[in-house]
Amino acid sequence: MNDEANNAVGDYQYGFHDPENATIRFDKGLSEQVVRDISNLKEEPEWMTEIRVKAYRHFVSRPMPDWGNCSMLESIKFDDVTYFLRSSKETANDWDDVPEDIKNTFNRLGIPEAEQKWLGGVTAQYESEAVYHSVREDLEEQGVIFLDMDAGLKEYPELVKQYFCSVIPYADNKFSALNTAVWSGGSFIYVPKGVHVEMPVQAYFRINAKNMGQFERTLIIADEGSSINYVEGCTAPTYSTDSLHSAVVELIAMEGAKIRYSTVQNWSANVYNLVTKRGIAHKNAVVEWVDGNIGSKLTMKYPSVILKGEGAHAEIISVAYAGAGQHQDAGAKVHHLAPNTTSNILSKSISKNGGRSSYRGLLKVNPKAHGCRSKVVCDALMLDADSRSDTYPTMEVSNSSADLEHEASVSKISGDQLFYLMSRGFSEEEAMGLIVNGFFEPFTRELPMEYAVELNKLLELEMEGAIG
Amino acid sequence: MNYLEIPVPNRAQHLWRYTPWSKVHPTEVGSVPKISTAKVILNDVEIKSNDKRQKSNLEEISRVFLQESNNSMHLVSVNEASPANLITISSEEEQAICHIHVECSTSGSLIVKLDGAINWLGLHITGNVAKNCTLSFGLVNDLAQHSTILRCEDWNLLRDSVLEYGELSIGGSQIKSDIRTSLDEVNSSLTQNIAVITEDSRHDDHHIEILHRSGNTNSSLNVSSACSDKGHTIGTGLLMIQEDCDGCDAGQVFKNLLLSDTAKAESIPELEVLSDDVKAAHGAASSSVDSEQIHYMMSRGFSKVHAEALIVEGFLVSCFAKINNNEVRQYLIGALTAKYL
Repeated sequence: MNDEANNAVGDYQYGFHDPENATIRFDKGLSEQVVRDISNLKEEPEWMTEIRVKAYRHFVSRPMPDWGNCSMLESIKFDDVTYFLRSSKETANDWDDVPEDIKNTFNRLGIPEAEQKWLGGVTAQYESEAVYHSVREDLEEQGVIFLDMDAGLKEYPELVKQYFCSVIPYADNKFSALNTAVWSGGSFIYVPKGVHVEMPVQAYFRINAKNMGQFERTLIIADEGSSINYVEGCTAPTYSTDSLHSAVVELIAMEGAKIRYSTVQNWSANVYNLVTKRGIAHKNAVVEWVDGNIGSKLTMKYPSVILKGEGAHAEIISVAYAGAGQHQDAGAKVHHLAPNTTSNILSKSISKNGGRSSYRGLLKVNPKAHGCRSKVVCDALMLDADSRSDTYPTMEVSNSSADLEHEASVSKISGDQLFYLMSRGFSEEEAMGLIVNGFFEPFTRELPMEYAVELNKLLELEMEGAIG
Repeated sequence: MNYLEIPVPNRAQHLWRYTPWSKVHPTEVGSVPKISTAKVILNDVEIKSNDKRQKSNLEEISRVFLQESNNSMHLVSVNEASPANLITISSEEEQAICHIHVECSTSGSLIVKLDGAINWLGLHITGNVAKNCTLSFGLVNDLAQHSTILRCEDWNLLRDSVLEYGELSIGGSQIKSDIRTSLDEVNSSLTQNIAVITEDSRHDDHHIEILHRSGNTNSSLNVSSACSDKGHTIGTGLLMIQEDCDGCDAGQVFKNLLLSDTAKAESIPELEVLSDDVKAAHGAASSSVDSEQIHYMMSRGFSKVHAEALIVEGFLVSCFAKINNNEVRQYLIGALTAKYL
């Protein structure tokens, strides 16, 4: 890493970058030709090219959202973004076959170690495409498909065609249109009926190049009575110019299935993170989002669940940390379409050094959804007078038998709590760190232990210098 | 900015999401008709509008429209000479506008009753509560079932002042209310309690903004609504605490009781907090009448309909329990009880 990069990295431990050794790099900017070129390069079927082009046209014609942090959104320079960059000729199944420079990056991030210890499978995506992919043999034998999305489309085109854009249509919003037009990489998972994937599978997304746009597409289908726990992590180097990450994640939980999708997003503070995540839960199915937002310049992410089948359940736990120059606009949405569906939303946010955190949520109960229950809790901590915390919850209820609760509070760390801890020998900074970790505990306890430890370390780093 | 220069708001705007501007405009959205002044009776005496309104500094479409359609104003003083006041607003015209400006310079009360069979009523209430003064304000909307109401309110509270606000909204078919209170100076305090009943196809949209502009200011908002038949209740709250406003304590609660499968309730209690040493909380809840409560009442001899009516009445009456001024509280409760007789 050179000095310039070192200086820019600051406290962000994943802010290093390695030399760029692209095998294919598109020119900056987006046009219909770029969209067709990406599709041709990947030798995709005609229907996928058509969807991409339709989505591109929708993206161009659709205005920017006129809500949220409009000034930050308007500052995105779509013409300065590189929409496709291939770093490795092919996806390796053996760690030794991964190009040396990329391997170094992931070694520094601890991916191979994690895989050996506790993962059922792993995909590592570097820039636009997966560079490494592996899945445990026993899972393959059970019929579990875990591929990067490009390989999924090649090997299982009919399955992908059936479910692609079925939960999030390309015209859902401007950024889902952008993703559908230029998507590359991501994970494709199919869990057959009755199979329980005991160990979590993981994807790791890394942007290395400057002005890079990463548009991964993830599709997870859990067939009847199956279950899967998927974990993803994201980092990027710190550059003086901005990068764009706009992913789309679609989850389909068939009758009695369970999907848990955990994310710890730790992009550097120059990444626009504009993500659409939605799951559909059929009869008695469960969809859980466990969502941590630590990094990025602007995050707009509202994991959603459509409770389509009777007795389905949604669980959304999200935490956000907004430091200097950051706006974490996160939240959750649940649509109760069927009777006796239930949901729980827990959102926690911390703002510090002028950071802004917003909770934006929607809870909707359809007229036919009898006997629904939902509880939403949002808590916000503000650590100084320069920061800001907003809550924008929406409840739309069209069924009299629904039972909904929403509660939210905004406060600072209480002087009594600090005093208590300091009287027992902790410094003010340590005491504050402990209180923050405790505040986030409902989230961290839902993460695999290794992730929870990592998250606590990240928070400690972020909390450095929080006093005075 | 003139009305015709303001773009017609669309659904993306929080304020107009559930009630389009065209639904509460008296004619066509592209016109500014001249509308006559409503009849205002203060303490049994009709008063005339003899003042011109000052231009509002809010370029909000409904405020600008009301002013351009009728620029007259009724000035009402709540002072030591007249601490307790009752205003009735009505009109024999099809459409009418009324602007009441309240100056409170003592500890007193003001009750406003909207009455009659008017088709469209535009109402703008503005008010200042002076230093160390307390105003207990009650509003009862008991207009005919077919009326459309466009109502704006703007209140300013000065140092150590208190505004106790109570409202019962049961009249009209299409109601849009936009109530904004600014706590301008330290130690000012607002308690706002609103009870809404939507039945038949009544559509009641309340937008309530509370702006804390000074430290150590308190606000408490409680909106309770009972929705039956095809009624539609909307409650949007925006609680803002500006920078350098430490010591504020603010809370807002929206409660909806849904009494039929075709009734709808939307609650959006928003918070924007820019100071750290504050307490800010909000909550919203929607549910049907607890079957255990119904069972308890029925086991004591009430019919199911009577039991449910009593529970709903109790739910709404409790909303007014925090109003200290006996006169205002009793008036609101009396109007509510009369509804259930």
